[in-house]
Amino acid sequence: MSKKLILFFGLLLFVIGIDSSFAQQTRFEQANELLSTNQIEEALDLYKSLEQNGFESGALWFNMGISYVQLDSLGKAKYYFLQSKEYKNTEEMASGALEFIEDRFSRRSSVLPKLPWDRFFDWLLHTFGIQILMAAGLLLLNGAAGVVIASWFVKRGGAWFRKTGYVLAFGSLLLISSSAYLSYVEDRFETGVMIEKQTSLYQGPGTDTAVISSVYEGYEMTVDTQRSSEQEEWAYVRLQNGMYGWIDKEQIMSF
Amino acid sequence: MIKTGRIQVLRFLSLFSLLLIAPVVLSAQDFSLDATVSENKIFIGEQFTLTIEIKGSAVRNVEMPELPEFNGVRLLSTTPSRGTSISIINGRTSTAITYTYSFIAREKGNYTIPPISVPIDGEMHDTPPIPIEVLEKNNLSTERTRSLPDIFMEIEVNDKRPVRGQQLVASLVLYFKQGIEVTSYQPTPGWRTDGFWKEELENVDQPRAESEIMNGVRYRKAILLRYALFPTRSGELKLDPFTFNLGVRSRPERGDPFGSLFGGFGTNQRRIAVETETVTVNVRELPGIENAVSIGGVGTFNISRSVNRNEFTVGETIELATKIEGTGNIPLISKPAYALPDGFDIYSPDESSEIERRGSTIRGTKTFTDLIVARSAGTFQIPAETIAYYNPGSNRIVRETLPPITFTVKRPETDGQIMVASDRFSLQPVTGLAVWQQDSNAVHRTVWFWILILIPVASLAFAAYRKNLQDKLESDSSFARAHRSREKAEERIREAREALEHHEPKKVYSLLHKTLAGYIADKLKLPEAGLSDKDLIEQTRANVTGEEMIRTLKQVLDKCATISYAPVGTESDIRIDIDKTETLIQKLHKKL
Repeated sequence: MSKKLILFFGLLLFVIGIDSSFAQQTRFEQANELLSTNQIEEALDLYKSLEQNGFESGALWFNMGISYVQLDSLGKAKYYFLQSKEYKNTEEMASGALEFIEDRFSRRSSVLPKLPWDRFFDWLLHTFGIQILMAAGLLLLNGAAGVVIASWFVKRGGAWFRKTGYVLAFGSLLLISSSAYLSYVEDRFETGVMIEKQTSLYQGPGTDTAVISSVYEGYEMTVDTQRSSEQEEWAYVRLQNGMYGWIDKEQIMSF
Repeated sequence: MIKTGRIQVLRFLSLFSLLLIAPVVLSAQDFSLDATVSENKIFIGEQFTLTIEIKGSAVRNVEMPELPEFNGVRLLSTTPSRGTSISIINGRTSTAITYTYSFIAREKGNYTIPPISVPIDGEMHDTPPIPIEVLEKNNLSTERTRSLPDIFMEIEVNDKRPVRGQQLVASLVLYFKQGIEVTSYQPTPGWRTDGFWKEELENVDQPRAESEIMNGVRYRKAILLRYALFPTRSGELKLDPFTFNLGVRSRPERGDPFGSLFGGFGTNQRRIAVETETVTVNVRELPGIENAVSIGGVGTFNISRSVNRNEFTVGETIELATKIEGTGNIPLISKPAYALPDGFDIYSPDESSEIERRGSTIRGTKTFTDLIVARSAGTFQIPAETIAYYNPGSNRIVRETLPPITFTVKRPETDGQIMVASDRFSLQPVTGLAVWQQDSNAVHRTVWFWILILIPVASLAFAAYRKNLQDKLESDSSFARAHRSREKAEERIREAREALEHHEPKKVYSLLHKTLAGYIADKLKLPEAGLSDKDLIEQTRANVTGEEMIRTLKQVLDKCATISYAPVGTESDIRIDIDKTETLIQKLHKKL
């Protein structure tokens, strides 16, 4: 009897697991169907429910971007296309879509070129990613430990093993520290997009402070989440033109 | 200037007959009666002529005009010279009868040639009165003191103080004295009018010469060309000299022994170049326009605005046309900038214009077509807009308010395909199986991260321990003995079991003794030889607590010592002793 019960509950859990793994795909397809019949708002509701349940997909972000283009909310469309661009399978499409909507913004921000240091880490991030860098660093660390251990026990060539171990250890340290730095940057800073038509960038977290610049729909910015967490309604951002300041959190979306 | 009096009998009667009288009457009244004087301004003692012309499609019964009294002038002969001419143009025959009277001016003053009655077909018809001025030759205006040449040209601008954008008429006027006949003229191209937009007005083919008195001298003047000029900026602007090549013929004046103006005898034909002087125009800035969209217009305009339909689909081009028609600087009018609602892509507007250059003004139509594309569906309204332009006639800013325009944009029928509104690009959603992730984990929350961290740490720790052990074993013999004591003891117990298998009980007990003695000596770093069982027991007691264990040790050692002269026990007894020794070693290992 007890064996039958265990089998029943095991089967039940298996079915529930399968069902939950396919549930988001089913909802996604329903939303796509609504989108194809021009029921944009209804489609967006379904897409948003997926987003709220923590599901992420390049296709989901891309389709949400298209929905917002249809609703002429280009700032939000840009936000989702930027997210979609982070995924290999939708990167190319999202880049095309971004190029398309960039042309439709009435104003565009000037863009300061990035520092070589930042460009290097961007390259590392987009080429390898944090996890691969960390994994490579740890594997190198394991290799370095192995070689050092070998140097302790081998009768001949102990010095060569020792030096090789140090080189490997140094390499692993570089990779691990790069990964840790990128992880820190990713955790602290987010990419923000202005979703309303126009607002101002203030010197402090309040409208009673000096206005530094005007910000228009579609402007990209870097959001300092650590500093922004100190304020409930204001985010500390750096615009692409190099200006720093505070912006109303309601006016932007960030990831 | 020659003033003419004209009775538009034909036009009047045509209109009249259309309304009231039969067409038969129309043909009976088909003529015109004109009276002209050769000069309007005449010097005292100078002759001039009055010509009365009766013109019609058929020969009329015209009698001599009945002349009234004239003031200030004297009729030289009451018998006029009469002329008759018949012309056929486009199959239509017209007859003209002229009566020419000669007068001489007598007294200075302004006079009027009164209406002259002419009996035509038995009915009296009057010419209109003609004003004339009789001048005293010596007391003429001294405004222009310069000595004028016999033939010269001037640019006459109708307004020297226009506002920016206002249309001016620049007439190129040729002045020449009596006795000079201009047979041809040819303008030299390339007239520079910096700061002006220039449009040539359509001129009459044959310029008509009029009389003008300048510096007391009678000149003939003729307008050869006319341009419409629109100043495009304010300030002092200059019109460069204009050059004409003229063909002139002169004849000797009465009493002039040398005859020709150009130094020849008799009638001479010459080609000469005549150039105007530079003309300066001071252009005023337009008055400021507030609360309205300025199009830079100066003139009189009608402005309208419309869209090509009221219903569109997303992505379809909406044509918002603004039509400006009227008189003024049509070519210079700029597109009004509208505040369009959000949600539209705006493309380069179309611009077209039709300009008429007849007469003395530029008029026409300019149409601006904004091409806009709605990005999303909905009902949109282009808000009302006030357009302002300057009217130089009334010298004020005119504002015209264009009403708002409302239209609807619908979503296109996509047939399952999503197309974004654009001719250049289309976006299609991603369908099918998506690659899902659920909140990407941070690296430090993954299992592999900790495994890869722990492996080298543990390896290094273990290796370091092993290395340290190895080094100590190699360098410290007593440590090495102690380290290997258990291993050695186990080896000896194994040998004892083998000896038991071979039925060698004495060897078994010898090995058990060696096992215990060797283990205790190695473990307690005692000398390898020379220790009695008592020493071993004492040393063990000194290092280990537990009397039971000491007693067992003593029993085993005693049995090993006495086995050579005591009877050997059974195999099971021996096996028990081996197990007891093994257990004792294990216990000692834990304690020592």
